[in-house]
Amino acid sequence: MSVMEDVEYKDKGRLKPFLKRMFSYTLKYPQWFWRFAAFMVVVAAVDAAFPFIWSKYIDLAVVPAITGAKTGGIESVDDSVFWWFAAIYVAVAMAQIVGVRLFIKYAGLIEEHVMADLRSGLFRKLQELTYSYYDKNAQGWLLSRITSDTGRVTEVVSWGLVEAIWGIVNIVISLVLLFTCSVELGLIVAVSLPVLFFVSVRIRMLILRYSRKARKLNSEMTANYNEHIDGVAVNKSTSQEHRVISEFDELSGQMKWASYKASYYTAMYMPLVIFLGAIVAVIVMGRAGALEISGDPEMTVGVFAMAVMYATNVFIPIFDISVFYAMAQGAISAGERIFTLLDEEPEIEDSPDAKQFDSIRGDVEFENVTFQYSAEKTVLHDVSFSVPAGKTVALVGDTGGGKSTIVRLIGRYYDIHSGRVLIDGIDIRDRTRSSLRKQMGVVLQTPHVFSGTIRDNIAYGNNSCTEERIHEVLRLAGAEDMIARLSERVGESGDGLSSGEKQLISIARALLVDPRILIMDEATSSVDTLTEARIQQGIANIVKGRTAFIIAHRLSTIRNADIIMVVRKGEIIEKGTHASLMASKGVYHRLYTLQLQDESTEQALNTVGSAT
Amino acid sequence: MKELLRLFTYIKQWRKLYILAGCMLAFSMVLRVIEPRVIQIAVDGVFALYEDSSIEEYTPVDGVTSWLYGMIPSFERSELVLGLVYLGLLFLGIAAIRGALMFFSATITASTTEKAVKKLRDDLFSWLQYLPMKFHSGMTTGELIQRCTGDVDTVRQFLGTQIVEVLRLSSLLLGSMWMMYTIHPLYATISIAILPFIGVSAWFFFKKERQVWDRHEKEQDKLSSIVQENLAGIRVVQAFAKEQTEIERFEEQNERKRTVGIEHVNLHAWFWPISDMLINAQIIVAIFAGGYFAASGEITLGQLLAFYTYAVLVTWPLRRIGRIVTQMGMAVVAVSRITAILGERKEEYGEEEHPQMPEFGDIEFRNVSFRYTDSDEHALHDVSFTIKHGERVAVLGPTGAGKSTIISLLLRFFEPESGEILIGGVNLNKFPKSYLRKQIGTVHQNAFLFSTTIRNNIAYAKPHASDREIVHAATSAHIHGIVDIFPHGYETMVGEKGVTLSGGQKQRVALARTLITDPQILVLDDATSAVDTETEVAIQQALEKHMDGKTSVVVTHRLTAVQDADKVLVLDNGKLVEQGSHNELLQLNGFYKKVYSIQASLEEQIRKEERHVRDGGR
Repeated sequence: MSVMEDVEYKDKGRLKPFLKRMFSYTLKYPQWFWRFAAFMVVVAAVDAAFPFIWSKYIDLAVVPAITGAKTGGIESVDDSVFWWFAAIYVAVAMAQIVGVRLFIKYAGLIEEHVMADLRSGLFRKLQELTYSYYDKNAQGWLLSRITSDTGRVTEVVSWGLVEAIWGIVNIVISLVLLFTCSVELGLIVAVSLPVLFFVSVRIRMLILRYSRKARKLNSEMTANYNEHIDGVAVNKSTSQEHRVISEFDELSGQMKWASYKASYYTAMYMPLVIFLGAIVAVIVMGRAGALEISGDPEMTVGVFAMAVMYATNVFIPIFDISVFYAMAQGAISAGERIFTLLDEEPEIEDSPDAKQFDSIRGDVEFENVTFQYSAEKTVLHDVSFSVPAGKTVALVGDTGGGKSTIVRLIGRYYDIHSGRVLIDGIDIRDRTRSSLRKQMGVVLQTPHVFSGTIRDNIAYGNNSCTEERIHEVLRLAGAEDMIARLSERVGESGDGLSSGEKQLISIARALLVDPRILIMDEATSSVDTLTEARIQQGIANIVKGRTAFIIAHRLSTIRNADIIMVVRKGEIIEKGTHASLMASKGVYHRLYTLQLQDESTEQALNTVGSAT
Repeated sequence: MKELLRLFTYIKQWRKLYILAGCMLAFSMVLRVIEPRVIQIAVDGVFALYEDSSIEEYTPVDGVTSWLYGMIPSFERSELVLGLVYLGLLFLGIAAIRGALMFFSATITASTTEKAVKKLRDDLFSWLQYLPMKFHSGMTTGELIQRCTGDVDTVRQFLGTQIVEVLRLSSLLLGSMWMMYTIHPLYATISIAILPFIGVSAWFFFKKERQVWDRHEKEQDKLSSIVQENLAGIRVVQAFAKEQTEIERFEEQNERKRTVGIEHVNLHAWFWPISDMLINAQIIVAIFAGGYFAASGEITLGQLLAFYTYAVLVTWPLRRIGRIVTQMGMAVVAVSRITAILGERKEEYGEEEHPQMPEFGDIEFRNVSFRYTDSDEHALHDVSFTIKHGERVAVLGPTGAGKSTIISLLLRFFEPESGEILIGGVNLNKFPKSYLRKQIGTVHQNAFLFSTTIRNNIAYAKPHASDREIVHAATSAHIHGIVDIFPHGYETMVGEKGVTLSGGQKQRVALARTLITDPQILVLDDATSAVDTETEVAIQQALEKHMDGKTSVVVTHRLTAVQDADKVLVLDNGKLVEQGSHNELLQLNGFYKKVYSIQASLEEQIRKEERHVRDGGR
């Protein structure tokens, strides 16, 4: 219980900046916004006017008619005043209908446009952000910024605003009309407003608190389902089913409690405000009756009926205003998440006077490069090396030693802290990133396939390339058999393709632009043995004529490289050709020997065995 | 409808509470429609007494008012104000009872629904844990989660909101109509004449609206998957400097979603004014017909005022019901998707029948054959072998030879098609599964870690393990030495919310997780494949100490791991082709020998190379 109480809901200081910023999006469409507001006012005013017109109808048409009929019979009643009222009713109803038609239209236009604008802004920002941002933020988290958060905040400035404007205008006009008929009754209703408003907001905030809690528990529950569906084999083999079920039971128990609390306060709200409304209505009724009996000329049956109506219904606009308030409060966090992301400064930006790289040759040089992801931990210490254009470099060493970091620095996916990365002798920070990356090819450990055809995927870097070129790179990548499958559609996550096939596609995709520098970062570690062998065989052709950096475990790949660098703990500890490193009997020699034993068994098994 | 019946059977234990809540709700709506009659008495009383000095006391004009009037002591000219006070108290009394009934009805519904939904969630969770692995292999995680969350929420809305709303609105509608008829049947008929049109138009509108909404959802989903795909492939996008193309692709879909969104709103922007028009027409007709009936003395002024309230009350349930009924259709689909899980049979654990745990001993496979459900070929074919208690056994064979299947059968994830598996001479199916699995510690190649701390992952199967036990297991798995490189040591979170471990590190944590339970039999299913060779050797040495005297089964394709084993089982294509110790197998001159020779020749090659290098390289 005490933990729950800690969840405070004081967001007062945050509400104003949030709404202000949201309105700046709405006001990009001033013509819609003002029309929306105007029609909203019309509708609220008409709704507020109905009891007033009704009271006038009673006093000016019905009561005289009743008295007239009593004395001279129904035929003697003058019906022209009825026709007048009919005309007024029809006119007011028409105004309401037109108003409703148009406020919905403009609110919808504003909602959809503001939402699309926010999403577009977020998406553009995500394209600018660099690796270091993506290292720190989970994809699922970012996705829900664009999908669900935008919906929540735009609802506030569209449908939330409908509630707010309607509520405020309705109250003001109702009070004005009531005051014109009877100041005293008007005062009674007016005095009740703050009480109703206070109670409404108070309960709304309680509802909001528990529904927030429930939402949070709900995502915990989803995560729990996710984890224990994925991990069901572990649970079964360690016989932990019972324990995880009872843990879930506790979580779902908390969820039950939180959403019951939210429903409890929701259930309390309506009866409470209706009862408060009834008290006001009774006071109005008593006072109006007393006034009428005392012979107050202003107090007619119509005014009485009107006052009771306003009193019994006054909670409705209050309710609407509190709905808006709660909606806005509930969306603050979503809004802050959105705006924080929009305000995120990309860690790397092209310097303003950066020029384009012309055709590069492919000389790569690191000059005393030091790099760290976070302040505590340096990943590369003072790394220097130089690779002439056209050479193939193999990087070996333990996971986490810094191999991937080195290759990522070449494409300027991170900025280094000291030293220089030079391509063709030019510091890469003096050129635009896109002009560099367009001349580089990158193949990552986990292949990514976009939805579309296989052809679209291969032509990703240059969709105006010829069919021949596509065939050529497929052959080069060792994937001739895919030529026949080019128009095959691949699904959202590349369903229907094995990870080996996906990797062949990404290799072909990288080769399409005929990159001057090719980077293969563990490109074969997630593919099946067969594909791996195919890639191995073609690797000599793939790297021919360009500078290549390859991170791999396979000995054949490593052995044939022009330069081998052993990276350990952020430093290059050995560097040379296969022969020279073997001769020096250092770290490389040991790594190589162990890996060879491994590979040889596997190879032997698959050679001898009938199943592959 | 069969689905809904199934749902109602599921919540049977709460039926009485639901019925109670429903009755309270209906009764509160009856009180709601009585309220205007109190005002009617007030108006009629004051008006009559005020207008006509010959009348001394108010006389009720119809049944409901005389019933209500009977509840207050008096309403006379001499004590007019007192009469009004009585009426006010009556009004307040009704409002209070109505409020209380609404409140209790809603809280009973909410607490009952939350209980029922909790049961549903718990059942789904426990079913998913206890369903056999066969079920899991045919389902994606995303789909299962959607059923456990989205579909459960649909059912929750159905039970807790929609049924209640339909009941509330229909009792309000019927109550108002009833009141109108007690006042003046002809007037009542005139005042509801247009209602059916409102109902019908709402019905058609919400059917149409659903279609557009579904389209809207589809476009929205497409937009989400574009973003998702982009985020998943952001490194590729940036590597190819294709940000601009991605933005264009996104904008295209963003606009498509926006267009359908506007279309959807426009539908509302037509429906609501048209519906308002019908309602206004109805109310205007009622107002003027009422004026006529009042003038002709057929109804009193108070009745006219009450009637106006009813005419307004009666209009809006109809257009709301249209929406709710179309939404309720979704519940049917959701229930059927949920029962598809809950209708499956849970795995039989055999806990009850075997209170006595048999002793562990030798493992024996006797002519075991097995086939996966969706496959025609045997994954294991007539396999027989014995593993003596305390032996170290290696299982060797090419990919797809059936190595992992042996382990799945041993853990009873699947049952053999024919043949028997025995432990200590007792058939495996005589062991309760949980006992069996506790005694057999398994580590798989794809080490799955939970997103909690490293410590909790290691202590997963033994939550109250002491620090010493954890360090001991971690040391044997060779992870203790690297734990301190993580920001918070053993308390470091792994997974999405924490650090990402490399494949080898994950495998080592998984190994520690198994070792901590001190299993009788340790099974490593290619469990150190991602660990570098040096560390693997160290792990092997540590394991030897840890597993002293206990059985261990190691599936591998590394010969180094095989040579020290007491026994090697060589599998090929589902058949056990050879078995024996390293030396025995070499003498067989078969599969193992061939593998060994190729391996040896490859190693010879490296030695040659070395010599070559040493000799000067040229």
